Amino acid sequence: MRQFGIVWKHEFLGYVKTKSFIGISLGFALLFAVLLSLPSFIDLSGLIPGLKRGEVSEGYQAGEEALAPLSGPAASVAVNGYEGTICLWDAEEIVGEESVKQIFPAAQIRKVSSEEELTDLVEDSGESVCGFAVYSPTNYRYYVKNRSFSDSVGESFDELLGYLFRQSEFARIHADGSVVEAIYGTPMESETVVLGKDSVQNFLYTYLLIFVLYFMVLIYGASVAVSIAQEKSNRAMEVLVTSTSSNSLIFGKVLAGTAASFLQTGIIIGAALAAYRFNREAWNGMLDFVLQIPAPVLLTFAVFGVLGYILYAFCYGVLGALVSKTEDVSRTSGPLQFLFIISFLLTMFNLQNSDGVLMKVLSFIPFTSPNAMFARVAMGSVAVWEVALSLALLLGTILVTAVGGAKIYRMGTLMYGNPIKLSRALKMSREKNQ
Amino acid sequence: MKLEVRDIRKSFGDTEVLHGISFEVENGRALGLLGRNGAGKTTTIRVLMDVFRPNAGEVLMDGKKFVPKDYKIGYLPEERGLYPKKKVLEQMVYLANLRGMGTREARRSGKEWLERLEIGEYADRKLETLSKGNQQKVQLAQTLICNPDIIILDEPFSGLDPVNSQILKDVVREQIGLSRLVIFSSHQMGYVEEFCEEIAIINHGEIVLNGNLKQIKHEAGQNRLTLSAVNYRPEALAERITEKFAELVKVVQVRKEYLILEGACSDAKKQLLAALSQSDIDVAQVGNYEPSLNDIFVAKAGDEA
Repeated sequence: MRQFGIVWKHEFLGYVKTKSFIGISLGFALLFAVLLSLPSFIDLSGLIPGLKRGEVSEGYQAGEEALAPLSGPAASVAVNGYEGTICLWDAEEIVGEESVKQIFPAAQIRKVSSEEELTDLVEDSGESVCGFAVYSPTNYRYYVKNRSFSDSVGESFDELLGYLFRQSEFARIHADGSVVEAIYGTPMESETVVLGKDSVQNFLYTYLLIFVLYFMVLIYGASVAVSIAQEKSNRAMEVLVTSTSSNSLIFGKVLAGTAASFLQTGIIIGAALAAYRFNREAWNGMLDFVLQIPAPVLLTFAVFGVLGYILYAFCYGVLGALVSKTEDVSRTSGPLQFLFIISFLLTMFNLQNSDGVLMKVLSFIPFTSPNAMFARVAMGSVAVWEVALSLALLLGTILVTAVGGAKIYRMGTLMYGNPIKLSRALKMSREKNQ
Repeated sequence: MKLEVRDIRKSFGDTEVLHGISFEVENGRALGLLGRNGAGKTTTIRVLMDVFRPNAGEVLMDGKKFVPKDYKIGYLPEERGLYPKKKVLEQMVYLANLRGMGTREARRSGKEWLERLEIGEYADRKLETLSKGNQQKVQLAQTLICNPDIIILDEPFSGLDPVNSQILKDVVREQIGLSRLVIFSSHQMGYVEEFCEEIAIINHGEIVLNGNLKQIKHEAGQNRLTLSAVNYRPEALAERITEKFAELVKVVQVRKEYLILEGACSDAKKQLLAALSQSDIDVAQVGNYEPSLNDIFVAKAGDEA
């Protein structure tokens, strides 16, 4: 135990005393602290809509835009802030320049005499020109040269045409269009009270924390393998294995890597959460959905994250012992990385279906449960026995991996030359007297 | 202290690499563990230090099962191994800690050894910035930092210049004088002859020769003579001896300056001297032959050389 402590301390200090560890930890912590404190010192309401100093709302309502207090289309259709040129071929005057101007007040409206002229203008004039060819009250074509991901011009025009069509139909049946529109447009006053979990709100920080674990395993886990391969490569292992037990070495290395990675992550996330907590009022509570992480979720992340990390780190440690050169580590650890990436992707793709059968199955498989069970706890409904069973399976697998890994490590550390195949290593580790 | 290695067998997979290794060594008397590359020396040392578990056989200390962790052992591996990117003293202290020494004591002892080996100024330098010879001395310092009861030196002189070799010789002699149990493995037979009273030669995983070096040399040289002449070169002398005195001696080897002869009977030397005085051979030197360790080693382990 004493030797384990010595190895652990040596390895831990080896991580945390490096300039990169200190730089990254403090740099990111400082960056988050400064960024999240900015609204307390500078008025950013011009840059970030929704920031209103001195008022704390219960949450930022994404997508909320006030309807313009105007009559006509602008009373029902949201105004679009597009600032380019909209070419309009509307031979039948179905839409009308004025209506378009109301919905796109910042845009320049240019009427054209033919569809060919419209397409030529859009094609030749660059990114800030688009156009509409209106064929009938329910049929139009939207021309755009390069469509951006955030393009909403077509959508707004579609709403406008729909509005105009409804108005004309109301008139045809002698109904008062403005009254009908008002009836349809009456906002419901409502409040959502979530008594259990709010998956909508939990989604983003669950997503982020799974990403954090992903990077921790891939970056720090690989560093455990590299550290062991280095000791084989520079032959320090020759002295180490004769100075202490191989168990002390592998356990010390894996758990030191775990502690260092969670320390760094803790410093960065802790700085961000603390800075936000102090400045939440200035932020008007608008980052609650990312940074107001409930304690049980953080606790689950800590438990499953640490255990999942340890499981993978032991596997990386074993793989490090099977190679003699650091450059062989990435090749040998490829299948393990692939396994973790599959676990990560399956969880990510099923995050919005966290109570589905697949997620339930994944949450009990030890190599996928660190991601999947955490996601289920954060976003779905999980019984206590399920968490306990998953935890027990994970712990059991860690134990088996650690004991088996220590045997393979002991056998592999003094075998040089070409990388040893895992199957051969497993066979040899089962032999007596290794 | 008396360390006994008894009939150690070790297999890797289906291949047995040690076929019953036995030898013993006492404190204050260094043992030279010799063998060609791949003969099984390092595997034997690893079994001795419990890095590998033997399939059969045992290692005893004073008649009881040898438990390495109960002793302070200084091991200098043939494959030199330390951390190139760590500071010299820092890694020495770490390794001393692992061998049970406290940090303060390890720092003090580490500094002393670095000073003793004339590399004290490099204590806070990264190992990779030192010359190969100085790195070798750091390796020796880490071997001795914890004042070991048992010292295992595997090729300690490789990479050292004559001045540094002399420093190391003094240290090894001192450790033997301090009644440490020393196992010394080397291909440089001169050093082994200088330090070791006992030797064990391993060949293909077997002990082919084991015992007191003086005794071994004496036995190997028994009934053998060296002869050189003023008026014959060794090759011509060999022909002459074979021609004239074949019934008394046999030419075993023609060396650059002399011949090695083996007597046909116990008083061959006396008879040869008498016969030579009657011949045309002007004897320059005649004497008892005592083989060098190199000769013994080549004879025992040089089967495929």
